[in-house]
Amino acid sequence: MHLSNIISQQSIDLDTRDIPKSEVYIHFFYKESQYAIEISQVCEVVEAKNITPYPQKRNGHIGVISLRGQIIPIMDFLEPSKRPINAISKDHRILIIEVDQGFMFGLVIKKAKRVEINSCDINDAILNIGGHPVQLLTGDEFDNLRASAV
Amino acid sequence: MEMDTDEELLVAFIEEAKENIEGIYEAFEGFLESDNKSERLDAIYRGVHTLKGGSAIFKMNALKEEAHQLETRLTEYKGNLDLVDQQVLDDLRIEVDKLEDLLQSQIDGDRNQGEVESEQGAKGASANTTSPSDTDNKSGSTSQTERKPKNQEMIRVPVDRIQKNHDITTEIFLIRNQIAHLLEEESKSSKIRDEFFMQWEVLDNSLRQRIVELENIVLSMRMTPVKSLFTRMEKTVRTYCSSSSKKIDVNLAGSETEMDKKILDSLADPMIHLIRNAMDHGVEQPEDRVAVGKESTGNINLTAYIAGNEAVIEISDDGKGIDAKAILASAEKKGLDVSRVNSEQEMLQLIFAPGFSTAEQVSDVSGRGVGMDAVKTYIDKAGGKITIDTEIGSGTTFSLHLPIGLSVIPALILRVGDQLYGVPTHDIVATYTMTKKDISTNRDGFLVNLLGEFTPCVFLNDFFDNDDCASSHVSSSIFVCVANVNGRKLAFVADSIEANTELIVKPLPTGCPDFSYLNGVSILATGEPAFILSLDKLGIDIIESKKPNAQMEVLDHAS
Repeated sequence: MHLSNIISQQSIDLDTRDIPKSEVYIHFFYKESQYAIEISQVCEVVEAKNITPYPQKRNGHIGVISLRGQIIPIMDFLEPSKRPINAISKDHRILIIEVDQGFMFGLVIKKAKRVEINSCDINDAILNIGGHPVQLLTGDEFDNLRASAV
Repeated sequence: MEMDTDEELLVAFIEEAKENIEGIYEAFEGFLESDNKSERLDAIYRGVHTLKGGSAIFKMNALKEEAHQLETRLTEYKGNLDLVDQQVLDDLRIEVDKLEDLLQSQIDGDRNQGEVESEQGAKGASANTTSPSDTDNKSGSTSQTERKPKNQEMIRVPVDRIQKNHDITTEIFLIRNQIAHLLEEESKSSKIRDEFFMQWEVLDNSLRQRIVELENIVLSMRMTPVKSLFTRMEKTVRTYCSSSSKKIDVNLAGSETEMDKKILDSLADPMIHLIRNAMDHGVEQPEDRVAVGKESTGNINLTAYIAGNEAVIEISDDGKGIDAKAILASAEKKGLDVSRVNSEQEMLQLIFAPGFSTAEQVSDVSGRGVGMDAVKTYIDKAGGKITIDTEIGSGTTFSLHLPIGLSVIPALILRVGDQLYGVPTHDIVATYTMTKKDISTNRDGFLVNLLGEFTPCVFLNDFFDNDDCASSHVSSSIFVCVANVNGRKLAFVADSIEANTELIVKPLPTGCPDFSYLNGVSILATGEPAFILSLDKLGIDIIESKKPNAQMEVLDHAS
């Protein structure tokens, strides 16, 4: 192979590397803060139905809903002592997440939106969406909740 | 007949052994790249240990020996995971291949020998190692013709398919409930003619009955008596006694109790482990028993019964019991974290910790500490729980509490505050619609006068945190359910009864917090979920609750 070809090939590789990869996320508001989660972890976004609360309050655990006959627990991973869902409005949605196989749960959120983000817009789990800092959820945030559950 | 049972057990063992080996191969896949090497190695170890135990029962000595050697080798890597490299994995795989080959040769041998062995007097499973060529000529056509009719009567259906059938049936049931609810609501507003509504009601009742029948049939497809499992355990004890100086009688009760096959199948391994432990560590040597005034022959009792929505299997022995303090000391010595262990039950539960064993010597029967860990894993997977009752010098009872399976249960729907709860009718001794005036207070507690008998009572809305929970305290009309809690009557006060119906109980999903008194969850006719309460467990929870309230004093005095 000629040297020029090698140089040319390398430059093509370099160019490819420099093109920022884009990933698809669901961006949403949760307790007035903004978050995003990889779309692969989101099962669906449904209308906020009546949540059946547990008989006794437990930090981080709100209640359950029936999603087409499947019972889904609704969780609260942020400052769980505050229970923000006392008044669910028309604007609320339930984000159904499956962080690993078999562990499916819902979060009561607002303004869910599909966004495509370039990797260069992600810095230390903070996404830049429209000039606003958005916390990226990786799934680890829910580990404690899972540990405290059955 | 005896040979039929043995054959059944052998077939069950072979099926499980195949699954075990598959599981071991799966654990090898991507082992070096995985971040749970320790758990994977534990799983491989457990699989090999189970295989060893089973092959020992059926006197498959070559298989047992190979499994024992592999188990010993695996022990070297427990705690030394760094030593496991590709070469080690390859070697281990070869060892497992050998196990698989040995198992296959047993299967081939067994298939070819068929009933010939039974006619020759069933010389024991070790005879199965005879090569197939030796037996080809011996297997007569009689045995094949005897087997054929049995096969023609049965169809093997994958459990998953039956499960799917059941799921769809329950969904139809729920849809029917919702349709009924819709029509009833419409009829209240007189939008539907009475004549139409009556005709529809007749058809609907018929539909409901048929769905319940269908549900029961589907459920019964999966139900199997525990007899086969118990017989297998009996054989385990017989085999043990034939090579031990200990004498043990096995007493069976409730063999006809039926359980979901899937759950029952998953019980074989934990049961074997528990029985082995009872034989090895529970029941004493005959001379030791005599020295403490016991019969020289020990007893292992296997009991099965249904309690509410649970099937309970008890494995008890009349041996030396378990010393909880010795368990704690042993756990500390082994470096286990015991900082949160306080009560006796917590000390006893340490025997389920991975790697824990009080045995000083490793034996074929038990003693590597893998068994009890596996027991808990199996029972947890089956959605059950295990409790231990023990008395030093008298014996130990392990109780496995297992779900019977999904089912339609008759239940009352109660309102407490703004929430609805289901209560299985089998939990309820009596119900009363009363007024607040029928409740009296005594020493700050509540008592209800039931036919002249003052019974302690609890207001559910005091215990639950739901909104609007003060309602039954101010409402003149209340609904009272009486249940037996620890053998004593306890009255539970709800605001009202909403319906007397049938519910489909679904297990609580992963991610729900642990409430001991929740039996599951159901979907009401409105499509909303409602939790199913176990009044018995709720009563215990209230009694054990540290939350000081008026009812507690009454309950304490009552009990």
